Amino acid sequence: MTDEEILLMLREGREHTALTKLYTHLPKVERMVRNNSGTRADAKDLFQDALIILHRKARSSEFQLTCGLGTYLYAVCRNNWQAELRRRGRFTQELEAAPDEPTDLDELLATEGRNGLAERALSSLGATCLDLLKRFYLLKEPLVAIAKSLGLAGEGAAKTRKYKCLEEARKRFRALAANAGDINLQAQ
Amino acid sequence: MRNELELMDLIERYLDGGLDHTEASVMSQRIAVDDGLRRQVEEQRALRAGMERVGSRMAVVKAYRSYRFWKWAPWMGGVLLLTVIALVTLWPSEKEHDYPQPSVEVAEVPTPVEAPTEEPDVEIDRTPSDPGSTSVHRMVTKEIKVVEDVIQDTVLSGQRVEVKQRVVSAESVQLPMVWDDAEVVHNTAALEPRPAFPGGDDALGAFLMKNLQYPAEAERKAVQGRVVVSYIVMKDGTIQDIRVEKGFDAACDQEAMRVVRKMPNWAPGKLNGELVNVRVQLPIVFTLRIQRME
Repeated sequence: MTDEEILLMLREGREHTALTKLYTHLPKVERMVRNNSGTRADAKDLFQDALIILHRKARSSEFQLTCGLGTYLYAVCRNNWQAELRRRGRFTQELEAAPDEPTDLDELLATEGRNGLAERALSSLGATCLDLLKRFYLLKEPLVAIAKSLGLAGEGAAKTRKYKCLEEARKRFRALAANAGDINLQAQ
Repeated sequence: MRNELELMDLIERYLDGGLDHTEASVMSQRIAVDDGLRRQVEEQRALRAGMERVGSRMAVVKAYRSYRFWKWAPWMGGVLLLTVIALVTLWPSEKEHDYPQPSVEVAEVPTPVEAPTEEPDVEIDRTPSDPGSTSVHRMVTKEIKVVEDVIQDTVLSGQRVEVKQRVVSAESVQLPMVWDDAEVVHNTAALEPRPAFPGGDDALGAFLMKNLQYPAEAERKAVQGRVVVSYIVMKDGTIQDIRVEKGFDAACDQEAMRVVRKMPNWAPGKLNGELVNVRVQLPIVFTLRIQRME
């Protein structure tokens, strides 16, 4: 399976096969992390985050691949691991970059890091909230249908519930971001 | 709350691109002047992205499971196959094993006179397998022609920070080691040059430091000790016949073996100007160091 085919699959929503295939790049990341004071679990988390970024990125129309997918994933992991090591206050040498690795990842990784906090805030919500939001945003079910399957009075009730859930998520997101030292959010 | 709900809806549609041209430009203007609103829009954008990530993660985690499955499935299949083969091959051999005893008894009962002739019979049964295997052994040992050598004078230490308050895992290679076999010392002196890791002992130390991982189990149980691994540096520099000469903990022994197996080819040793196979002893010390984090 070539990189183009994998990208196409990600774009067309046949991501399961594509992602499974992409995991063949995990061992290389694992080696890098384990050689630099990390564990196998660290490597897995790091790699899955890179997959999420690639998955989301691939679906946006402007995404242009300038290097191999393996290199791309490795570059994301390397950058994030470097940041993590710095965050842990560890003295580290620069992790070795692949020669053809993309250099414009900084902004993307910063945004995705923030989105990752939002993801954590959302995942920490109660099961009902998460279910409702998944149905609304991911499965694109109409509010009426959601109200029905969750046993709510009607569309209005579902809407209110969704509002409350999002508000709660927003509150938790803010707290997480403040913890992570996100200056943009702390202002005001 | 009504107003806030309305506002959230408006932002939602704005982010969706669901507003018409005028509404959108009004919204953009409001965002430009209203910091609070801008912040809320940004947060909502992040939350929507976060929601997409939740979806992505589900797919990624699911894919991980099938990756693991397909990674191990062939092994499982292999193990199953081996089990089947083992069963098939062991089955008759077990029966054969059972046969001799009763057959001897049966033979003894009718004619006691014939008993002596049975012993050679049994021996003939054994002979085809026994000499064959020993001769193979002999051939192997002859071919290798081992000269023993001991790596000396490498002292290294280092550490890797792990758990909150401890610095764990200093692995060091430490010598001089005790090895007082007269023959070895003799041969070591005669070797010129001795087999060497590419880049010398320092590089060897660095290689070990880089690759050795303190086994988690050993670390938890605070097991420390020294493994002596030996291996043959062949004439072509390859590493063969890796053995644990002296071990102290299964996991640590395994780890030492693993790293030795990973070593690149060595520069082979010479005896009287001729390439020889040399058995090299490599002691690896696993020590835990308790340290405070700064």
